[in-house]
Amino acid sequence: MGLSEDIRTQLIAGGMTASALFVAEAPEKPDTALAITATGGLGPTRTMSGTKANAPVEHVRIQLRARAANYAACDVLMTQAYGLLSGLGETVIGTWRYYYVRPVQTPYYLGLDGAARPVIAVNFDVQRKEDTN
Amino acid sequence: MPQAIILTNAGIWVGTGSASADRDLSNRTRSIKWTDDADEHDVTVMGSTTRVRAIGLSESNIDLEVMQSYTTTDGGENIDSILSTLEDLSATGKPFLVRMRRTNGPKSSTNPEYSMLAVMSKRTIFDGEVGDVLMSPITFLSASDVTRSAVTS
Repeated sequence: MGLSEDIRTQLIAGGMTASALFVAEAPEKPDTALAITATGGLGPTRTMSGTKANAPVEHVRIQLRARAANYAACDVLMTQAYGLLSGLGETVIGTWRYYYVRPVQTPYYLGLDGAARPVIAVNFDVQRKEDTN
Repeated sequence: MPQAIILTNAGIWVGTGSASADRDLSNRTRSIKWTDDADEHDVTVMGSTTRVRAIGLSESNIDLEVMQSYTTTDGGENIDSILSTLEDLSATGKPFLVRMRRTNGPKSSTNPEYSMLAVMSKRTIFDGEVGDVLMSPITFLSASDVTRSAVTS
């Protein structure tokens, strides 16, 4: 699966409600939703292997955007996701070995969306490898 | 137009003896620097119209940046174990063979192999910060002449 799907799987495994977690964009409803979006990361760390893909370390980035009917509920949602991912060490999710998840910053308030719901966002740098060894 | 050489697949091998170098470090190696340096002696004499230099003893250094590993189960060598062996060999005066090619393919006129007997004088056992890729910088020093072979293998 892709990066966003893997992160969603990890958040569900950590106890978050699956129906509130969306890949790429959240639909208009429900109010309480967390969008998990892959954004531009850095290039991979390669060695003299001469093979395509399968870099020992790939440096990718994801963004989480939480929203809810009010700020307190939005903050609870983001805090739960942030706590599950910040500093996450070696973990196999699907066909990838995830080495380390590091927040780029602490969660920050983005403002209100089109339906006047508060949105809080955070970005993570993720180091992973395209196999489970 | 001349073609550039983009380094993506250099081969670097070491052995645990002087006869073979069969441990392939390539897929854990991030960078290789092999330098050959000779002493220069000024042998200018009265009557010379320019400085005259003579080349003396030479030495070679290989600097490697390899990703540290403690296992072979992921398809690469156990770097920690190999370096420990090389360190022990060096400490007891036993050089080991090192080979390198521009690509991991067979030796040829366009892919010559450089080799030499070496000892390891410096090793960083551990150097890392949280979130870093754990690397192991290594330096090999020459214990023989450097041999260049372009004979197709």
